[in-house]
Amino acid sequence: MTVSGPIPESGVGQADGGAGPDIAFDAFARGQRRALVALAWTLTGDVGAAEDVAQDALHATWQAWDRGGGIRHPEAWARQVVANRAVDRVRRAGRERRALGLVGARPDPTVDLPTTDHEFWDAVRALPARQAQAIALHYLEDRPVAEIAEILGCAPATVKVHLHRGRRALAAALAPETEEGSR
Amino acid sequence: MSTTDDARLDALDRRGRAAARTLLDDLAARGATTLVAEHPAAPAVPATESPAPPEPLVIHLGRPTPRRGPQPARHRWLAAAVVAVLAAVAGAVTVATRDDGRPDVSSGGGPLDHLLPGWLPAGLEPVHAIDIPDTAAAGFSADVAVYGDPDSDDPWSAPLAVVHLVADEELLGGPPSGGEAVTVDGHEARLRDSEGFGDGSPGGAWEVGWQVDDGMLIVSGALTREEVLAAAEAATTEPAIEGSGLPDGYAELARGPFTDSLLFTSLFEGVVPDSAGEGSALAVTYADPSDTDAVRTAVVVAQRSGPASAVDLLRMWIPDADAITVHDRHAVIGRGDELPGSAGEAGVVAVQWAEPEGQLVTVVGYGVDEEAVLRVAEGMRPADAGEVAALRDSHAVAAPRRFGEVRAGQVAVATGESRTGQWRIVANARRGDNIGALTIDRVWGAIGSTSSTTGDRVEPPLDLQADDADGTVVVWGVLWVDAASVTAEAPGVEPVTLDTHEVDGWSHPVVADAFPDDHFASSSGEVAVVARDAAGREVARNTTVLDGGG
Repeated sequence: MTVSGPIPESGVGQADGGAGPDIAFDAFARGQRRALVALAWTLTGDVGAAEDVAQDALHATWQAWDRGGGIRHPEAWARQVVANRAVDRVRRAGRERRALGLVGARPDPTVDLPTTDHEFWDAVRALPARQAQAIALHYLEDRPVAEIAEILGCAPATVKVHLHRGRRALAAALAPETEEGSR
Repeated sequence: MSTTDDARLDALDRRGRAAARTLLDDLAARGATTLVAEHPAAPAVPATESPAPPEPLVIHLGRPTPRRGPQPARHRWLAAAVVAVLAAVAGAVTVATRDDGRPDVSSGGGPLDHLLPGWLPAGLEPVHAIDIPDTAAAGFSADVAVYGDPDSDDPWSAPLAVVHLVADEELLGGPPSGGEAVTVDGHEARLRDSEGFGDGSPGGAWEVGWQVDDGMLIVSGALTREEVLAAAEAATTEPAIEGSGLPDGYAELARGPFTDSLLFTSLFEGVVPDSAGEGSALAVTYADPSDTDAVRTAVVVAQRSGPASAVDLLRMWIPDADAITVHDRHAVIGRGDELPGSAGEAGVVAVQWAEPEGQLVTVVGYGVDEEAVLRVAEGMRPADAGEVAALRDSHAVAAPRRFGEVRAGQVAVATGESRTGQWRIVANARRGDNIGALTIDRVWGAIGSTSSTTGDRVEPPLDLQADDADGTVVVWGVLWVDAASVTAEAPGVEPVTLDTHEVDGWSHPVVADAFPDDHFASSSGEVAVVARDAAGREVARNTTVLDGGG
């Protein structure tokens, strides 16, 4: 499944003081927001947090778009922001949990996603951050290794390692269910 | 790789792709619900068109997105039990401070031999010096003991903690509630799990709490349900967990007053006036007073009474921590990254150690590299006579934070004062009512700050948003219906009329205004934001944005 096409190059990032870049960004934002929320959710597990992260990523993308320097690959750029900020968010939540959870903190209420395979995504979130990012982009967006590498800002060979290790870890963690599901 | 491995990975891939499909389907369905479920007649119009309803149309605006921290209110929403009590105590301190303009809560512990920095990064100077409150004076104390396996690679990877709260029932808010009813050492207790909090740790954590004669005991750990319950059975109000209740290999890692949590919360968010008290415990913030950036570079130095055994409690707040030495004594250094727009945006480095006179010293750097923070710590020197008193006198109140210019291409829609700083809603001058068009900036205290774009979705109707910090609630959003007035209102309380503002090039006005955070405190009813037309008929209502925030 592909929810986004190949990463397009954008020549519209050069602000011209008119409405052109804004209209182009509008279309970009409308087309990308749901996918960005989904990516953020796979890494945070919280719909509210995911919407915030996606919102921040779009805002950051727009600021870069609007500054006049241009963004060569806005889809990749926005996903990179989502991937990094989602991990930041999770780390912060972990710190709060360690501090507050020890004395009774409760999780934020989560919005139910009724048909979502939470066990699968929970297992993704339990992976090391870089593996989780690569796995999320792999399954959620069916992106090839080269595009994942561009989004994560690393070498394709590194992505291959993350995917290899991540998939093996997931297979081990989900083995009974996955095998059952494959029958 | 074996055939079996291939089959498992194939099955995983099928499951992963199916999981992606169902997630996207769920999110799509959720988005549709947000837009139309509460009012099916509300059209999802393009961003550049006006809804122009022919008849008064009540649009129930979507649920608010949780605000991102860090900000003091966030912790109140997140926390229960101890943290709620701590917040209540902080509130009591605040009230005492506000009544006559001077703190009247004394700090416990004996006089401290204060230390002050002998070296600071260039440009930093004292901007705020406050006393750290002693919550015991407000009838509350909390002590914690933390256990782990000292022989493991990371003894703090699966901590087990026991917290003893001493407070009357009113402060505690009644016995523990929620979760599963269990019996611990003959007491009725409540057991809860912490899964789903999103820190990626498999297994989560369990927590059990119950009332004791003078307050409450809570045992919590990133362990199994059975291990936490076994530990609870062996818990005492010392507080301690007797050996029979500890997992194999576990021993005490740290012990000290848990009221430290208030201090750390303040440190990470900038020490705010809410936490001011009076006494010998001291927190001094060093920054460049001419720095108008929302996110300041700063160093905070805090000193208060405390045992050496409490040094490692810093790890409860910054998991990425290492043992080091400062002044040839055991110390802990921790590093963290906070969210963009927060005081810790450029990174937080915290160092804590104990001086032999029974005082804990904590140095926290915001946007200051680790080497510099360590240099500040190592350079701490005994204060000269009268030096601390002069600091307190000169910097008891931090100079109000002021904004610099708005960023190029943006315009300030509305600006206002908060208790110790400013807020402003910023719009992009050229753009329509669209994604990223509205941003809230806030600065307060010595280093507290928020900069965030929120509440401006791709699809109308757009959420209103609220931000509660520094004694002031700011409400903002785009008004998508024709209305003559917008008010925040609740039963029995004077309504607040919220200003609307035209933005050049925008097709809809922007709601942006603020009111004191205690304005609706006396109302027991719902706080709503209501838009009305010229005839006084309601045309839009938001019942969620101020729920708990006003």
